[in-house]
Amino acid sequence: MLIGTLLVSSFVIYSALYLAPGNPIATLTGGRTPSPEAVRILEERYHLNDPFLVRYWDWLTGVLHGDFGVSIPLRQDVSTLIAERIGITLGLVVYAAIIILILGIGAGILAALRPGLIDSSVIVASTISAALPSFIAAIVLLLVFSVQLGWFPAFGPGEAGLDRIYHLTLPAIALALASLAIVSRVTRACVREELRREHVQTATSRGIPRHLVIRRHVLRNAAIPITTVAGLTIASLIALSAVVERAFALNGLGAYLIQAALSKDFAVVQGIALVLVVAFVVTNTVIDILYALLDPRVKLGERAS
Amino acid sequence: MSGLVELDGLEVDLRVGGSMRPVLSGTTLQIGRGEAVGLVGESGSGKSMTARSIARLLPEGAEVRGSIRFDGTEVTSLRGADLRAYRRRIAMVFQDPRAHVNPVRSIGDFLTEELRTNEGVPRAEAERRAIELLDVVGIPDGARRLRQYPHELSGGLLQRVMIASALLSEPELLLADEPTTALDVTTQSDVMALLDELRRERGLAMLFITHDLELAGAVCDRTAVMYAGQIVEEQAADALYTDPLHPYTAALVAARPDIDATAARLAAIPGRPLSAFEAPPGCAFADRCPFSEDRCESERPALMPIAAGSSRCLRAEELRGRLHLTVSDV
Ligand SMILES: Nc1ncnc2c1ncn2[C@@H]1O[C@H](COP(=O)(O)OP(=O)(O)O)[C@@H](O)[C@H]1O
Ligand SMILES: [Mg+2]
Repeated sequence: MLIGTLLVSSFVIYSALYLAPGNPIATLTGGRTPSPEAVRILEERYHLNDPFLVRYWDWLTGVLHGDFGVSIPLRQDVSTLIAERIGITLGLVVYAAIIILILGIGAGILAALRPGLIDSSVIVASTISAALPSFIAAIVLLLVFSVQLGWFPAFGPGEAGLDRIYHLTLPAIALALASLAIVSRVTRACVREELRREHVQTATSRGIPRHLVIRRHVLRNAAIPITTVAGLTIASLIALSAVVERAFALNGLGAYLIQAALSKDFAVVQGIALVLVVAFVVTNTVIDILYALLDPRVKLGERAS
Repeated sequence: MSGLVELDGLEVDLRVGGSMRPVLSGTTLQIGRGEAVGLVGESGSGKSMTARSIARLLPEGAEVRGSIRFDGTEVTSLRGADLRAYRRRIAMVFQDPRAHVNPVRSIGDFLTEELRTNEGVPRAEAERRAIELLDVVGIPDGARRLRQYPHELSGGLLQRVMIASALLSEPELLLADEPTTALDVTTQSDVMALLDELRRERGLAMLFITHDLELAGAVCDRTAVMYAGQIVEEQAADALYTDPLHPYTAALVAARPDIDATAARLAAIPGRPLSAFEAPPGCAFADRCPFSEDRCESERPALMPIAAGSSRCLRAEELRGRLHLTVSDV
């Protein structure tokens, strides 16, 4: 199942770029008309004349051995180019995911359990942050916290370690904001829904203290839909990270994907796209497993929609 | 018989949209220790709300007036630890066991939660007691059942689990809200017989809610009839048939499905049942009652003692002895 998904997506990625307009040789020669001899050598080196399926197969077997091919414009291994940047994207996405899980779910639960002021504040805050596209959020955060207040650095990923975390804070917040709103609202709705369930009444009618009723019956059950939504939202950050990486001049996979696409560096685009798809599929698989663990009515691999 | 539960002039309003809507308007009822009281009436008459008021399980925003006393203590004002302690003395068996048992926790968790949480009974001991009670309610192989989840059990089995769980905490009062309505016909009588037997053995008081007059007669000492949020009649269960004290009861008796019942007899009560919020200023049953007079429309009758029971009919005395004959001929 997992393997099938990956195979299909790798094929789609490869063929989409194969069909994309633009000629790698033109890119290589910078627009000048190369001699027929030069064209022949280049075509041979990069196997440009092999049939499509042969090239796909070569690429796929290479990828399975960690070889993503060679960037024609940069004349560097794609795997090296990816390895240099994957850490930043991973760090950014994980950081944003932690923010979403702690703040989003926390605020949603609080709003559901404390109607009134807290509830209304969460609603207002989430409405505002849901309405902000991440590139606007990025610009606003930059202006306020880097330029005006000078609390955070404006650009670059910093050195590995604590400095990296410091540098990634604003980008992670920018990336998390919109999803934070979704997750907190869904959490609030799910917890509300569970509070009304008859079995919660049963627990209450037996004199179980309220905090235990909430933990064992309300939150425990609400965790099932919340896991699905939070998981899917976090998986979508993988794609959204490109925008934020560009805004904060972070040298991550997403920003590089855009740059490579603009310069028609097909091998890099294919490689990064494949890595992103794998990350997405793996995240989804983790959600499925969690879902089956949380809900005894579900067998692994049959998540209810 | 000393009173265990005493409802006196209980009025409950629920929030519907922005306004308050009465669902109980002056419910008065006593349940003695070890006594089984039936509560019958058409759906929407307020039976469930009566039970939920006693268990302090009304929907959020409910307004309660009047009094509920349990063993001499006023229940309506209990809070916090006192409220939880009170709730441990009563147990509820709900209509739909599937909805009332947490689907993601095991049967073992469901059965032992109260003992372990409130009484600090160790898990092993709580499970031993649970297995013992499962056996009592006719579920052998309890150890295996404790590891199962609700979706692996049939509705009938799950209701037995619910009954076992109600008995496990050794309550003094059982509130059974249509405990067999959601089950299929073949298991209904088994579950009912079980509930009845266990209750008698343990000397538990019970409020038994049903819309089945006959069933109430079979398992209860007394039966109260509810209409539009009020008790309209209350007396010994078997006297309801032979000597109804309120025209509504007589109509219910006439309408109940018999072996030889026909569709025509089922429809014996003209009009539709009213809920408390729709009730007119006079007698709530007046517009469906074959005996109503002008004063019935304007004067709200009180629940008055008559014979060995009580009735909320202005003409109760005058109609006594004629009701069960006349209504069946309507
Ligand atoms: N949560 C609720 N909010 C508002 N009204 C309700 C609610 N639940 C029940 N009611 C109303 O209360 C009245 C009594 O309901 P109920 O006690 O459930 O009747 P019964 O159990 O006799 O069928 C009905 O008119 C019903 O519509
Ligand atoms: Mg009901």
